[in-house]
Amino acid sequence: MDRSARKKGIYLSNLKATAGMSVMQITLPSEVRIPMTHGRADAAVPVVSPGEKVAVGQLIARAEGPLGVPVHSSVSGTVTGIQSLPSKLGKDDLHVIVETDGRQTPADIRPPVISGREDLIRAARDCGLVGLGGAGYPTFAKLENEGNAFEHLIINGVECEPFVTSDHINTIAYAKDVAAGAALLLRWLDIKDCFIAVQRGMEEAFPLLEESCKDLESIKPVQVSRIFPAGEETALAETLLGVRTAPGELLKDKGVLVLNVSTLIKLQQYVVTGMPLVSRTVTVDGDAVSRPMNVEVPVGTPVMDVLQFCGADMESLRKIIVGGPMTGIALPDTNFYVSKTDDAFICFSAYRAERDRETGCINCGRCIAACPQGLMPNLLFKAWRKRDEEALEKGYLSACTGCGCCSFVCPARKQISYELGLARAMFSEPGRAAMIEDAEGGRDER
Amino acid sequence: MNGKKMLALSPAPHIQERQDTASIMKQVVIALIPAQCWAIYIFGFGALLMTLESIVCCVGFEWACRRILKRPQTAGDWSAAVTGAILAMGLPAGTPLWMIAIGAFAAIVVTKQLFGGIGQNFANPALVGCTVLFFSYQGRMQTFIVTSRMSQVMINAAGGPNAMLSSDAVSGATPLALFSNARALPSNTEMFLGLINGSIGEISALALLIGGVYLCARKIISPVIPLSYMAAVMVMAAFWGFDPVFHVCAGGVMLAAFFMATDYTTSPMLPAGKLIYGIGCGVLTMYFRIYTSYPEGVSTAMLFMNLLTPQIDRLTVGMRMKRTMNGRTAA
Repeated sequence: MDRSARKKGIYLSNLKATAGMSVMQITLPSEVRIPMTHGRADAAVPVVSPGEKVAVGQLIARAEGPLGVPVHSSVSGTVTGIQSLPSKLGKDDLHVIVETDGRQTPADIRPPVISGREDLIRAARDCGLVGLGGAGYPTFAKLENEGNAFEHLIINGVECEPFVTSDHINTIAYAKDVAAGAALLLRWLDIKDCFIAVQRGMEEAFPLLEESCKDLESIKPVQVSRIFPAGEETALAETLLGVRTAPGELLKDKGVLVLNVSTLIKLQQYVVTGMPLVSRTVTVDGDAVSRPMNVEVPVGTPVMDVLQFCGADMESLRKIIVGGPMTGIALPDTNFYVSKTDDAFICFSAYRAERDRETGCINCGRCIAACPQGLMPNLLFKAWRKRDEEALEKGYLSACTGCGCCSFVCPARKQISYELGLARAMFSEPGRAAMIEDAEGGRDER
Repeated sequence: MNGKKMLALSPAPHIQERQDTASIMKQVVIALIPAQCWAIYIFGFGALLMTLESIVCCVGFEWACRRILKRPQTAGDWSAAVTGAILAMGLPAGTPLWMIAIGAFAAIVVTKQLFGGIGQNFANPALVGCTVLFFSYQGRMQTFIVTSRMSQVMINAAGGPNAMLSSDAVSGATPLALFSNARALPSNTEMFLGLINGSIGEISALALLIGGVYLCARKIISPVIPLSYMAAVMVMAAFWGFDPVFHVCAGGVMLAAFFMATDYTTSPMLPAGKLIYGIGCGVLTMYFRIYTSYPEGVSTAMLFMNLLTPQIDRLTVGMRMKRTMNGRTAA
């Protein structure tokens, strides 16, 4: 293993208060509003209409588009409406509203028959699976890999974000499913070897994985450094396999498949039981929560219900982060509904919610030391402020993964990572920069 | 359901390291306390008064500049206080307030604020402040008061104990001046502890070392610059056949190595650059000490390297980007 690879990044306080607790089942909400868009999947098209009775696991929306996955009802009850509501990413999204009857009657489900690669990919699609680690790329598309073969499989159980423990908890609870699921992928995708990576310091999961993998020669549980962002998939591939990707190149181009551990567990459970993805484990934590815990939540549950179940103090609550505090997004209010990709809700009071005012760069070099990609965040930042496209390109902006390490360490409180994200968005299309320059120049002339 | 509650919106990351510019600067001031205490022991409370005057002048100029230039106020970020403290450390005991104010003006107004404030200065403000005073008031700035707490060699060099009794302040010479005139030198132990004459903050290598180790331990500074600076001074001294320990303890080497050369803004960003910079400072310091008529080489050497910093950065950043790209090309 490359020792230098493990030094790249920053050490964060883990704050994983919920790591040792068992998962609680949330009180069934009176109504769920199930989003049609999950992560990066294309929006599904509802196939139910108001007044219709639905059961748990019943298809309510069919997959549409090249990255589409179906959506299933997470509760049993009656469809009361289909409505366009704001999604967490700021766009409007159709939601199917289901009034629960409290019985949670399962639909007529059957486990899929798998006898080949195509069956496995179809199963991953039929159960509505997207990456549960937060990024939310449709799992079937990941497995498909445009027909190309994979050489290595990495099961990612490294939750390097503070607070978040949902993957960890699932690994402990379903260590056997992790091993079985990995074996399933190795068999049907014809992959030679597999690493199951967990974070060093989260000791409970590792022996359980070793125990469940002891008869499986090609599957190897490993512990990786708890440096942030060790769980970012390119960092993981570099640490475990020594594979480095060039800008614009994806891990799948190098024959590496990285799958989140909770995603794998859901896939394995679908293969065994036939129950599609209708609920997920969410970590609720932060200083505005009085009962931090991992809670199993039906997809479409109002965020408010989840927070209240965990004893969030609505008076002091000033910020809700979906995902971990390093890369998660802040919600403008509580009127949102749990989607398949929400791995955590971190609730901060005013004390933790505010970031100090930006001051002048003192050239301390902390961002350079922190950057896991070996970039010069300070120079990129200055180039971006000057809209200097050439300097951004020379500084290798496209390699930035937006991990947030530079912003975290900056004593001048500059939002380096965020602004470099803007820079990437703006300069990713050729000719775009010139357009912006023209527009800005035009404004100056006036 | 209270969905209308307004929440704080901000981009990720939502957590941040506690350390900010002000807390970093505070640590530097704290690290100067041992040297300050030693200055009080040798020179009396006048040394503390000088430091306080210098800090007040620097923070005052910073405040006034930001106000006049209508820029966000930065007088509270402790950076001007650091400049003030280091400026005083580099001056001889008994420097009058008006001179300190001129030094502070050169440091804060001319070197720092006229170039855009914190992070924009081309040279270390305190260093420029000291240098301006040394070249403008050569007589006063070469007057080093001898006190009874210094070693016998220093007292003898100023005319012996009897001279000390005859008047309140007797001016003596610094070890480097004795060295240039090939006179008897204090022992290395006396040099290291600081029983010698010089600017108020530079005399005790031990006190400065304590502060410097503190800064390294708190990860405020990287040890690369101080270590390479001191190592280069010692190697060069040995190379020319002089005592390496004497030269590293004499004059402003320790003060400069830990507190001036490590100034973020005017030193290179990358470890490789810091190494080049530290070695450059050390070599030039010794060169100026031996080949120029001015006994102290530190300030000239550091100003020189300050000006070279952008070039060092250019070189080392290019090297680093090449390494980053290495093995990652799509082909």
